[in-house]
Amino acid sequence: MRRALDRRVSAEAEGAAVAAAGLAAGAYAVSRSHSLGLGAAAVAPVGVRVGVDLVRIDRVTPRHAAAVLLPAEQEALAPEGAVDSALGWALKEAGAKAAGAPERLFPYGVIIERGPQGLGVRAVGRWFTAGWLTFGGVLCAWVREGGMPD
Amino acid sequence: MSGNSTVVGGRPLDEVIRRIIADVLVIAPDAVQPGKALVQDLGAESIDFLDLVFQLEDALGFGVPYQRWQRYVAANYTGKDLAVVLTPEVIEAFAVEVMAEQALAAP
Repeated sequence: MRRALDRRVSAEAEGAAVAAAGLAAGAYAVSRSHSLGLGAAAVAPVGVRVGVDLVRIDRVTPRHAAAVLLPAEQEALAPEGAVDSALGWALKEAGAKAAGAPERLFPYGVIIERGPQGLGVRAVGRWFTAGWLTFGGVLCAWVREGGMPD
Repeated sequence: MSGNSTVVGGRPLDEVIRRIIADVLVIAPDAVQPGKALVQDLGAESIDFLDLVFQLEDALGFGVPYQRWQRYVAANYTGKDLAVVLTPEVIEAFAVEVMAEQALAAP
């Protein structure tokens, strides 16, 4: 039942994202995520890699962060304050999805770095710009191929 | 679950695993049955697997790096739908494997 709800909210998010981006139906790149009955989708023109992840902020503890983030990544995330652990987790997940092999690349195949333009991730020899927002205790992070380094 | 005789902290390993899964997923221990897919049937998310490793670490009394779990999954389930194939028996088999490694490594 929960899987059905997850599929439904993810599909709804995808439909909304495609409409908002003005992309043609059936001709776009997409990444989807769901958690707690919420769905998120990142879309881009075909050929542009994107990834998205949703996570409850208080779900990611310092122990989780220490297990998946390298010291340099924790340093890069530190300016983000209270959401640093959740953001690190979600960017790794989003980056691994965008790079096309989430099970294989999460967590150490995706590296979070801070550049002049802000946070980005590197995976499979590609750079991805990162963005995120929070709402109601949930963090949504996404990455899109391109950008960095400078 | 497996019927093996491994004991952890005085309790059968399968019972320990069932309790860990129930605690992490915040469900009743009775809901954790052999063959139930942790993701598809019990609603596990990716972060829950890290918690399973943490709780396994605490129960077994020695460190179990998350990468060890990832290597186990990669070695045994690459190309399969992880939402379906990861069951309580898989967690138990993983625990048996790391316990055997730990026993071999012990002085």
